[in-house]
Amino acid sequence: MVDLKAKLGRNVGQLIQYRNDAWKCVRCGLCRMIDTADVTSDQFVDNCPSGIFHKFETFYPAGRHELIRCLTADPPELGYTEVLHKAIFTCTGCGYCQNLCNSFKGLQPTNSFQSLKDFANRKWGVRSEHNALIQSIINYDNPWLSPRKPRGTWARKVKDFKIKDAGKEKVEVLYFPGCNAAYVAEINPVAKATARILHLAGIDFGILGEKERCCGSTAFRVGAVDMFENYRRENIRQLNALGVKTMVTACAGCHSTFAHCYAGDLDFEVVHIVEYIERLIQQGKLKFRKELKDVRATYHDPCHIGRYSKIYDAPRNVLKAIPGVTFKEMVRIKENSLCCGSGGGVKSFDPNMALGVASIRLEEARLAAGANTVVSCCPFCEINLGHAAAGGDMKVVDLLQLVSEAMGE
Amino acid sequence: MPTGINTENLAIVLEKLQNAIGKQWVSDDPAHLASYSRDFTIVPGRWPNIVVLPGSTEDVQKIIKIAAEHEVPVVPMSTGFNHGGLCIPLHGGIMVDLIKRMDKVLNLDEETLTITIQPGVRNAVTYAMANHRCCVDDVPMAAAVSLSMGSTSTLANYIGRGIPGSEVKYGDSTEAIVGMTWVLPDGEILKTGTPAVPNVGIIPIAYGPGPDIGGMFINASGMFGICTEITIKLFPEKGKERLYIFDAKVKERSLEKALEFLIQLSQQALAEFIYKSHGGQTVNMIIDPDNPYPPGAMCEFLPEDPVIVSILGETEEELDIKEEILMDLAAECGLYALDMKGLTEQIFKGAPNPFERKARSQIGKAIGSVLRRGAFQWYSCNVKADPIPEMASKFFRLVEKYWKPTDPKISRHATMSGTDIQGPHPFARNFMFEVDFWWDQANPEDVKRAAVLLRKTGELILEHGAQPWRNMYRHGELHLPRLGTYLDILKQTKREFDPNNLMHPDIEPVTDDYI
Repeated sequence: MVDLKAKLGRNVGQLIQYRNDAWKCVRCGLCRMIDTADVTSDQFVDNCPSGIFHKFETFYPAGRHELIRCLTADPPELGYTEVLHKAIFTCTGCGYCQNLCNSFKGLQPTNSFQSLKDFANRKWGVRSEHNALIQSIINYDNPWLSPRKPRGTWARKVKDFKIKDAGKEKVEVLYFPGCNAAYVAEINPVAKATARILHLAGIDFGILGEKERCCGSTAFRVGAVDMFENYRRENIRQLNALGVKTMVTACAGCHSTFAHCYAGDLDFEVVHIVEYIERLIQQGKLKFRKELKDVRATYHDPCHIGRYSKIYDAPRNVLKAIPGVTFKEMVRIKENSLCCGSGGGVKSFDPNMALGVASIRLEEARLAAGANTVVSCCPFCEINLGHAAAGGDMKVVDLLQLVSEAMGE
Repeated sequence: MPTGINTENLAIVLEKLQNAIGKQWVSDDPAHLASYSRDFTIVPGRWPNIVVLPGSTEDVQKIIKIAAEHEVPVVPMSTGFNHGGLCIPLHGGIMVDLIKRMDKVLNLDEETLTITIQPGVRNAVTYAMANHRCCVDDVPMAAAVSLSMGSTSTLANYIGRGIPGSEVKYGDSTEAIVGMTWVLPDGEILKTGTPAVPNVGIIPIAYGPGPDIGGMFINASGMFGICTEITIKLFPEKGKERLYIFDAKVKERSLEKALEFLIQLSQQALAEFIYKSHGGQTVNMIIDPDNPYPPGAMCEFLPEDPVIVSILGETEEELDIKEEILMDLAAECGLYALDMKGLTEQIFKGAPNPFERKARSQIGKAIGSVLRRGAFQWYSCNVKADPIPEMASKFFRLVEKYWKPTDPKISRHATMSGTDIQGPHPFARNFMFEVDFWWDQANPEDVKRAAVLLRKTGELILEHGAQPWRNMYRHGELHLPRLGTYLDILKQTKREFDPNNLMHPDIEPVTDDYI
């Protein structure tokens, strides 16, 4: 049965369920490029990150469909090779192909390639590149090989107000920073900025601190589906017990995972902070007191709040509201946004590809938008783009950092 | 020195190719071979032995020379989206992926109104570059090929006669070819057209001086070489345009009524573009996932043989006059214009400009949707007007006999099975006639039935004096033997150019040992 409304990341089934879809791919090539109606030149046209970097058809959706067809044949028409594995695990799960193809052909390429990862892990074992982060999630509830205790360290460094412990006090809103904000030094400021914004807006919020556990997104995206399911069940139990009305997160991955992979099982609304901020600005509860200098910004749509959650306008509205920021779009934006290259476990599996695609994205920011600052709302994007920008003139920042700076005080 | 398809020879060929164009662009890994083995036609898939991604004409030369030296077949591929099984390596060999690295616009010439491109430049890019970067007196330019997927190769559409009938008014796409660069089976370079003539360069005419051999390469499916560059004419997107869709007031004999209307429009050279579509296609153009009506039900109230007409004019007054003539003609033929506002919004939803290119890119998407399941084929020909109704009737009888969808709830109408007529050929009574057909690609029985139906359709077309648009599904077996001396010359040429029959062997029956 064709699901014309197949959502990205939801109800990802067994690989055999996608065999018919694999037959139906007509190799039209629309999934390789931005919407043909939006093409205005010969630049910034291509849109499959693994295809852009690796070039062979095998790394594009049509090629992966053929791999699915071969692997689900009886007997299978393909066995393990490094190239096969590479083609499977360099899909970032950006969702571009499914967003496009599902609307007129009913196929679910992204979901099927997610299933393909799960199939590969079961058949040939989890990749060594991913083993470490999966074990880390199991042992430490985060993919960063860091102990649990420092998870709340960023909050203890917030001195001008106290952040409530949602595990001990009843709060209206749970702020869920996620693993990146908690453990990655470049992303710590996002957690602090988010907390500060919520505080200044008078929101009754709290965090779980070191009791917070990974949303499981990383496990899911690298194809460790069983592990993710176990994690999901535990998280649902813990989070529902808090009695909050809203969960706010600044991580696009967490947002997408809670909003889609946990859909229907949570007793509260899941909101990305950028939508919250937009609301606060509209309600007059959030004011900017400082004008920023020399910020020629462009916005990079993260896949997980962009195509996955259709949040396109809120970050732009917020960015345009910040005094002193000049804003110009790139070419590949919104539904056409080019993935930063690091999703789906690619950052650890194929770091060359992750950096290569990120460099292409930064080049677009420079040439198409004349930007000196790339702004985004996803720590994975910011980490990867930041690595590619290192040593150059381009800055990569989270929108929250600009908001916090412009709020002054 | 070893030759042919065997382990020892292929290992040597692989190494030579890697040394010649770079190790990262050459592979014999089974995963790569599988991903290049199949398209969505009735032609069964077949793995190549090696896949290569050249980055330049010189790379292609090196590939072909190595292949020739070791007698290994070579099959070129662009997007791979073709309706004829034209990229399947029937005897293995080297698959040459021409679009992933050779994707540059080499020249956009405002003086000659031409564009020179590599195989990887897709229709949407060609259109955008011409339209946004090439103007004469503020009139933007465009390439002739439209009604084609924006994601497919312009070069391949021109030399392989992609989607037909798009700009019939300007001649078919091959007449807009100014020059080509070919790598021949011996690895030598051949340039055709005016760009090949020293001190002349690009002049936007279709043929060079003296006997022009460029035509030999058109529709040759790679059997005489590989095209690495093409220069094509651009045409003005002039004036204002209006679009109409007409339907028969009474559904009976709607095809005949539509045909008469098309004849009148052609003979009066009134329209820019005419496209008689069919109910199934219309359904799929407007279907959207939230529509509560299933395709079959929608066909009850949609046109069986809708006629899409576009007219051009310099001013609104000119368009008004043309519109009045158009409406009178339509009424004489028993047709009326549909409410464009609602239907246009539905059909061209999301396209900022509902006319011409952007509309066609939406049509291209709709065609690519192929009812969301299965594969889609078309068979097209040039034919005089008079046999069309009988051809359509016979085609439908073939469909009824051979078409059995996997899903019994899906009606013929909902499956894109129908006939199209495209034009105009100004002042003439002939058109592009096309039949469309759908099947479930995942069902081997369906594929077999489709193969039989398409074979019989090929025979039907030839019986009625139609000229096939191009070789589809290796149906050169049907039409080429009818050509007598023509085929003899082709065979001779093939022997001279490619004595070892390495360039896409058996894609056409032009060798005595054709399989």
